[in-house]
This record gives sequence, C-alpha cells and structure tokens, in this order.
Amino acid sequence: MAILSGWSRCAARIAGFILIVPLAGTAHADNAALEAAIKAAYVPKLAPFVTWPAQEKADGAFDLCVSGSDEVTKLLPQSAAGQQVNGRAIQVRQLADGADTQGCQILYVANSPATPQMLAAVRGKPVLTVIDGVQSAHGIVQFVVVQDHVRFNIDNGLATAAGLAISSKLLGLANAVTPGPQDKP
Amino acid sequence: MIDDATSFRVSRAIPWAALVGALLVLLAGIAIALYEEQLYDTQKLRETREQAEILAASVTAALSFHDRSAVDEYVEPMRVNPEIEAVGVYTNSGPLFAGFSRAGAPPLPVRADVAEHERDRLIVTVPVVQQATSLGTVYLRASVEPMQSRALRYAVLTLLVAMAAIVIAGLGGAQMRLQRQSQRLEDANARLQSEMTQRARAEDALRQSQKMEAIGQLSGAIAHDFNNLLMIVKGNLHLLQRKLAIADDDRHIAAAMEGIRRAAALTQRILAFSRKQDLSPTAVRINGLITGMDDLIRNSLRENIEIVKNLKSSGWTVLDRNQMENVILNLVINARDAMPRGGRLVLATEDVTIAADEAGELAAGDYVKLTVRDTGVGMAEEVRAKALDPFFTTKPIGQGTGLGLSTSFGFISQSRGHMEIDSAPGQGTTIVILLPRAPSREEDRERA
Repeated sequence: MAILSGWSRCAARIAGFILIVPLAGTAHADNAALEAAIKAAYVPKLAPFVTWPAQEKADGAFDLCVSGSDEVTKLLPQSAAGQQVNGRAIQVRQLADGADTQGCQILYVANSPATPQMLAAVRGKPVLTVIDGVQSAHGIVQFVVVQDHVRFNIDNGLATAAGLAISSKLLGLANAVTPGPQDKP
Repeated sequence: MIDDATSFRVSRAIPWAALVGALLVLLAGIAIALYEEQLYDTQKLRETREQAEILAASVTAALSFHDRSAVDEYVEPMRVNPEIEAVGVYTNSGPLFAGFSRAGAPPLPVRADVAEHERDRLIVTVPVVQQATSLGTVYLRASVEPMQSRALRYAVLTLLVAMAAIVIAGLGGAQMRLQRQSQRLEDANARLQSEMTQRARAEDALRQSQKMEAIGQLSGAIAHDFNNLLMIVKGNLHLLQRKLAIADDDRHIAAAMEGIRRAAALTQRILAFSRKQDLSPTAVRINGLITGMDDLIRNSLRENIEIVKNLKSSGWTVLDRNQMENVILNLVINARDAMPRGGRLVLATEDVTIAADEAGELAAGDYVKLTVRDTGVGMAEEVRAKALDPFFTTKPIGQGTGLGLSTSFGFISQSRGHMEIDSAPGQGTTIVILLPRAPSREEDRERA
C-alpha cells in the first residue's frame, strides 16, 4: 500500500467517498471537490466500454481532449495518468477555443457559453462527448448527481449517429439512456 | 476313469476363467474410480472457473464505476449455489470491493492476489477485463466434496464391484457344478435305460421258460400215467386174444394194437417235450450225423429244393443219436413245408465259444453251432413267439401235430443245449441250435 500510484490514491479516495461518506452531511466545499474527482476518474474509465469505428486511429496515444476549464478538467490529467485503452496510453489534450478536434476520441466539454458550439463542431464525428450536468446542448455522456451519487445519462442516439457503439454493460449502469433509432423495444 | 479325468480338468478350468473375469471386473472398477476422480477434479475446476469468468464479464462496468449495488446484484445470486463458499470482487488496485463469505467459512482475503491453497477447497481468481483494460479481479472459492465423503462413495463403488466379482465367480462355479451334475444324471439315465431293456428281455425269457416248464410238467405227468394205462390195455388185449384163441393176424386185434402203438409213440413225444424221456447219450459228431442222414434228407425234400451244406464243425457232442436225427429231420421237413415253390435249404455247422460276458441263458464255454436256414415264407412275430409251444401248428389239420418243434426244443434243452428261431415274413426262417461240445477226455474215449 505504501507505493500506491497517484491514481490508486485517487481511486481509494473515490471508493471511500462512495462506500463510506455520502455527499450529504459533509462540508459543501469537500463535496464539490470529491464530485469533481469522481467525474475526473470516470471519464477515462468510459473508454473500454466504447467501440470506435475501425478506421479511427488505432495506434499512438489515445486522445482525451478537454475543452474549457472547470474542476474536472483540472483533475483529468492526474486521473488519466498511466491509464491505457486497448494498450494505448491515454493522453490528455487541452483544446483552445475553436481549435480542431481532429484525433480526439473523447471530448470533455467544461460548462461554458461556448459549449453548444463545441458540441456542434464534433456532432456526427466519432468522438465520445462528455459534459457535466444538464445543459442546453447534449453530449453523449452527461454526468448527473442522483441520491448523492455521481451517475451518468447516455444518449445512445447521438452515439450511434457518431458511429460509436456503447457497451450494454455501460448502458445498464447509466442513470438514464436516450435510445437510438435502432434501440426500439 | 478317462471321463473322470476330463471332467476334473474342465472343472478346474471353469473357476479359473470365472476368477480372471472377476479380477478384470475389479480392475475395471478401480480404473473407473480413478478416472472419475480425475474427471471430477477437472470438471469442478472448469465449472468454478466458468462461473468466475461469467461474474468477471458481468461486473466490468459496475466495478469500473464503483457501483456497489450493481456489483452486489451480480454477486448475490451466487449464494444460491451451495458449493460456492466465498465470492470476492476486487478493484484493480487490490482491495476488496464487494463479495460474501458463508458463515463458518474462512473470511475473504484482503487482496485477491494472495496465494491460497487449502484442502477440500478450490480457489479460482479471474481478472476483470474490458477491451484489454484490466479493471479488477474476481475471487471464487468453492468447496470440494470432502475426501472422507469421496472415499465413502468409492467404498460403496468398490463394494458393488466386489459383489459383482463374487457373483461372477460364484456363477462360474455353479455353472461348472451344474454341468457335472447334468453329466452324471445323463450317465445314470443311460444306465437305467439299458438296465430296463435288459430286465424286460430277461423277464420275457423267464416267462417263456416258466410257461414251457409248466406245460412240460403237466403234459409229462399225463403222458406218464397215460402210458401206464396203455400198458394195461395192451397187456389185457394180449390176455384176451389168448383166452379167446384169436389169431395174431386178426384185423381187429391188429387195429387195436396199432392204435396202442401210436398212442405210445405220442406219449413218447410228449415225454420228449417235457424232457423226461429216457435218453441214451453217446459221443456224436454232428457233421457225421448229418452226412449219415443224406439219403433220408434228400428223400424228404422235393426236387425243387436245393441243399447247401457248410459243415465246418469238428467238435464232439454227447447226446442221444436217434433223437438228434429226429430233430434234424423235423427241421428239414418244416423247411420243406415253408418252401412250397422250392428254394434253398442250408445246413451249416461250426465250433463256437461263448465268452463269460456274452453268456445269457447259456453257460459260458465251447459249443457246436448247427444252423438250418430256408428261403421260405417265414413267420410273423406272433407265430414265431408260439412256435415252440406244444400242439401249436400252422399246418392244415391232419398234417401236423404241433409237436415237432416243441419236442425238438425239449430234447435240446435236456441235452443242455439251446435253440433259437429267427424269422420274418418273406425273409425265410433260420433255426440255430447250440450244443455243448464234449471235453477232449470223452473224445479220446470215443476214439479208443
């Protein structure tokens, strides 16, 4: 336990947070920090449950792009450090406003006025968009807090449109799923 | 003895075969037990691993996003399987995330990678992987059927196999005993059958000889008294003739005397049948006797009957020469009457010896055998059976007295000989007479 990596320490904190310390009843500042840490930990973990189109770049680093800035974006480089997707190291790339999203496989968009524009720019492209909280524009994955737990909603329709296949295991864990056109019951 | 030895060898061979069979069954039982033991271990390990793999594949997302309740939803149903003792889901970094351990079972290890080897327990750890990304570990501990209970199971199996082996060996032995028993029964049955046949034959012979004996005694006594009465009649007839001075050539006297003579001759024949006639035995060669009768025989037969003589005997017999001539003449006349359209008469003699084991009604010893064979009409069995009875005849009334064969039989019997008739309708008749051969001492005296 003495030589735990930074990510392991973070995960231990998150686990402790989920298992032992409910959000309610603790100081608000701590809550916000923990919530951001959990979300930051979740973003790279989404990758194994998503299948990108075959022609997408299959070698080199896995690009986790970040647009804007909030508590989560600050923690992301730390939570993604040392993580791999299909044997490819995750590389966190901060995008400047209006920058090219070429090569991004996951795009975390921090809550800002530019968010809808950013999301519109990658619509239809094979990019897993992640946003925090309910916003006017839709991302494929959307973090929500339900009963003091960080959960996520998934828009499977958007994902299908983007050419992404999301594992049923992840869909099963989601708080809410917006079904895609082929997901008719 | 040979049969006994063979059956002994066979009886030794059968239990060996049964024993080898029993041993094979035993070995097969052991082999099956060992194979099953191995199969059980392999299968148990595979089952446990499969369950762990299913769980690992199910909990990926829930473990990845630390959803405790979702992980529990996958883990809890595993309690249903009583063989699963403990289930643990560990995060990638090591610590236990969720799981259970049954009451009484050892607690879950702190970390999944702790190596554990326990008796009667199977421990399987499977990594939780999603798209080549390791997310954690599933730890599964299953109880294996305790050695004691497995040993008991094999003991039961061994007992069954041993019983089967014993049954096989027992059946082999029983089969062998049964075969021997049945062989013995068959032998006994065959012996019984042969004894019954012999006994029936002996009874027939006894009955026949008793019948002859009774008839002989009765007729002998009558003939004897009748002969005495005839002598009284004859004597008194003589006295009457002399008293009345009747000439010897008187027709009535002559007729009465002829009647008395014939009556006396009849009583003699009856006495001959009853073996009570007075015989004057001398040493006789049957060959010579037959040769001396040549003219008589020839005159007795018609011309359409061929005579074949085959006289090979050289032995002597002791008997009444005249009576023996009567016997032969009787047989020749019977043969002639059996061949109204002609045929062949064979007269044959030879010296024979009857060994002790062939002796039936006759005593063992040396005999002269006389055979008289014709090619005539033959006799049916019921006729043949009565042919030796006195007064039995197939000839028309007036032509036969029915005493020829019976007096011949009486004479031969009185001479310690034996007479047999072999005949069938259309096959002719053969009469065989066996007469005891005289010892050489008597031959010497005859020659001297």
